[in-house]
Amino acid sequence: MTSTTTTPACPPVMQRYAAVLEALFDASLPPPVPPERQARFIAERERRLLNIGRTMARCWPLTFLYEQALHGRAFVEGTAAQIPGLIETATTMTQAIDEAARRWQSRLHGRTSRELFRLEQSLRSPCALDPAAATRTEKARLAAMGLIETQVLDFGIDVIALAQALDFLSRNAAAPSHYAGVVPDPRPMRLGFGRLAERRMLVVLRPTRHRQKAAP
Amino acid sequence: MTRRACTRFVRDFAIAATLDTLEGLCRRRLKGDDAVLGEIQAVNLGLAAHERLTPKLRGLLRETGWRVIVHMIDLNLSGHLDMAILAGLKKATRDLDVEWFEEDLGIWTWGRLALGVHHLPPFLDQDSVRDTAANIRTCSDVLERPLCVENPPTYFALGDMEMWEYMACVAEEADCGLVLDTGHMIGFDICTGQASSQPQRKAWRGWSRVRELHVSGFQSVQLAGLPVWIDHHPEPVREPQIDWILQTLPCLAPSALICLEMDGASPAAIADTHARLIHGMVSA
Repeated sequence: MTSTTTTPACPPVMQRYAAVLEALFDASLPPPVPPERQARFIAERERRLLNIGRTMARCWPLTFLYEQALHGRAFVEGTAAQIPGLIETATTMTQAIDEAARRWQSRLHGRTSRELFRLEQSLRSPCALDPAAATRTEKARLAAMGLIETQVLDFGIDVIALAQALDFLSRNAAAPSHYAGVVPDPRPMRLGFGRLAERRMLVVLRPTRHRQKAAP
Repeated sequence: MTRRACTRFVRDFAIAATLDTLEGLCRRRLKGDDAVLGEIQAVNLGLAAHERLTPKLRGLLRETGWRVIVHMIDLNLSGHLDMAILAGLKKATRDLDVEWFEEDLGIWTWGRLALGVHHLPPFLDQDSVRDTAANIRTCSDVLERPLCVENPPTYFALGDMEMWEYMACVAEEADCGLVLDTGHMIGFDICTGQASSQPQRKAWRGWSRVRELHVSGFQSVQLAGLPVWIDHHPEPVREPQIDWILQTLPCLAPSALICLEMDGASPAAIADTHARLIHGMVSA
């Protein structure tokens, strides 16, 4: 058995369990069990990573699809490995996965994935990543539309066209090679986000060719 | 065949409920148009420390006449015992006539994080037997009711004891009852190959301590090239599992309950499982 301690506050009786839990969340760690039991431990880790991936695919569906098509399990494994560091702040697995993915997103492969993650995160939650300062005009425009919990974000690419392209591929059971063929339009965008009733909405602030969109 | 026609062959049944489903179950029972609920003698209520039954719900539950068993949620019987959770559960059940409490062994919270399907099984060794038994005694003292412990849903083994042996040792050390979850035990035995999943192990010294048998379905899948039997309550209970249960029943004390822990399954699926168990018991 390996023996690591997760947190200084970890009670002694929990320490050997903490070592196992860490190895179940972090696929880079060796299974802390005898050799004859390692295959079964790895199968168990797979089950758990699939469960985490299911939550991630619900929260950030296009980012998850795109990353998995292009880079395999890096997104889910990287996110899962963050979870042991969150046991004193998160109380549910959904909260832990949300925070873990936000911490890990800066290591997503390339600008396309990172911008896509920022878009989907802003569409699902008021906790946006790297929001910009909204101008008085922008604030007034979003408020006039009845939006609350508003935020403004700058994107380095046309994330709406990108999301539409990926959504089309996902609906058509596309292969990884199809995703690899997506080339984002390098046109910068400025988007506003907010909540209208129970739905998160986005508004294109610059350029102005798109109309208001509801969250998918 | 109705229960009245074959009372001496048929054990008492319980049905699993959560705070969300309890009122509906009580009302269906009191309305009298649900054949299965009419044949149920107990409710197994899953309850977290922060949950509370309203006075109206407590009244409805009392009206059904059901015996009450409380399945605790998120208590680490195999690790650090959170006394605040225990105190919360005591408060939540203050006005209920709880026959016994129960909880799956293992680790269900890590720090403040509720692990859910990421929970851990107990280490199957003597240190763990000692720690777990001490926690069980503490729980019984605080709750002032018996605590029965359940074999958890798990698909890999930590430690070198067999799960059957471990459960018996814990129950003896803590002098407590056991809940035998049939799907958990079959799945664990198949996944780990620690022992053949053979309920006719009449020599097992834990049988007399089993107060309750849990019945629910599971999924058979493959992961990393290995077969895995995943606990999934809404799944149909298949014939081999029914056979396993029927072969197990003669080993149990007559007072042991059968709990239909099929939350998420349709009423028709629950009725079908209930009917097959009744048929098997009467035929035997």
